[in-house]
Amino acid sequence: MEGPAEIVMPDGSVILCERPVMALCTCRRTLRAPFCDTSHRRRLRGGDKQAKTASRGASRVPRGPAEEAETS
Amino acid sequence: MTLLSPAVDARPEAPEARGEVSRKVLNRLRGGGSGRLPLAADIARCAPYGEDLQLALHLCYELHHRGFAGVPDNLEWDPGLLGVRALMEHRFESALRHDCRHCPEVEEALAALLVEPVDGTGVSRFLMSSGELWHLREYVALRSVHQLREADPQLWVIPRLRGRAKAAMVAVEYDEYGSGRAERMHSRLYAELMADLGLDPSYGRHVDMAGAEVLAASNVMSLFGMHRRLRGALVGHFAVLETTSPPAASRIATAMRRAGAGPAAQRYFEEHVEADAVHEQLVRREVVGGLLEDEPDLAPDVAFGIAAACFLEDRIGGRVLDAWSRGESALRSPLPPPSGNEP
Repeated sequence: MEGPAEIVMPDGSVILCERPVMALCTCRRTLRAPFCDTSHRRRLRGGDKQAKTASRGASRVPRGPAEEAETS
Repeated sequence: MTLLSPAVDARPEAPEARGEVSRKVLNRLRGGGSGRLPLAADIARCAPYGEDLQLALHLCYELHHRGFAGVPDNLEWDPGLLGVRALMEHRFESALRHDCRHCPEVEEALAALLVEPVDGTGVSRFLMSSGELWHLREYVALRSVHQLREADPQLWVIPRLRGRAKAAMVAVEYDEYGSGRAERMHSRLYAELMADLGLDPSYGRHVDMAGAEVLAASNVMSLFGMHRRLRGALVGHFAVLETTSPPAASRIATAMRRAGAGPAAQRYFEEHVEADAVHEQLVRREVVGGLLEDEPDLAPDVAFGIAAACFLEDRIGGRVLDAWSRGESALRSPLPPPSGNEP
């Protein structure tokens, strides 16, 4: 949603977010409430992922990087 | 607010040569435009991801960013250097296209980035589980090659986009640049994080310590950013940065807390968990989605950019973890001891 906005928390406290666009957590799994921290992402065991990747044939490029890129 | 010394914004010293090609490029820079350029045959002999070619490319690209101390600004458009850069770019891009030739399509590739492997291995996982302060300092020093100019190479793509893609790209970049506040610029937060870890936050200070893998990951952003024909690749590459950043930043924030790093170090990575969770949504839906709606023919280039980012990041992780697993430094030369909290 678009910011900046003041977000009223369940305990009545107010959090000011000055970002022009913000992502609020709706799955309640975030550790940074009320904001999204991507904890909603599906978690997969590596074996499953490799099995899926292998089905596509020999590729030196991973589906998702084993390494995460720089922050940006 | 930490006050950074003026040296932080000064033009960097040129790094040391790593072979014949980078030596000739350096001589050209130091000679103010005189000096023999590397020949096509010299460049053809270079390994495309090797130290010599990647440093020479870095030298050429840096002329378009900050330049170097003692090097005239007009060398940015020196036809001889531009010709050499084109030969090196051709070698680099050809190797990347070959290594990424089996890349999945855009939707599939982006979906894969949104899955968190439970038992994944990577630098941020290593740092979270067993990173000591010296690992964190090395990691931050290596990443400083790009992070001290964070978002700059991506800015070049904006005039080449239209509509939704352009508007969303500007929104993300505005956030990267602190939403109008210099003290919130991500590159500034990074400099403060470095100072917190007792590292010199001067731009370009750690280039000599960074191996070819780090230079390649940084050079590819300039390659994609400076060529309009590669705008699709830039957008794909950027989507990888923004998508994989939040979980990794969260792990590194944990590592920073555990290692007793200062508040700026934690703040930087915590900011990126929250900021990049937003950016991921904008980049995936609006920038990638908007670009492909506008120019569907660019889909293979977007997929190439995604694959190239993953490929080059994996090479960094490979070199860093290989060194650390042997208890050795991942840098080409040792870091000076921590300098205290003041730069």
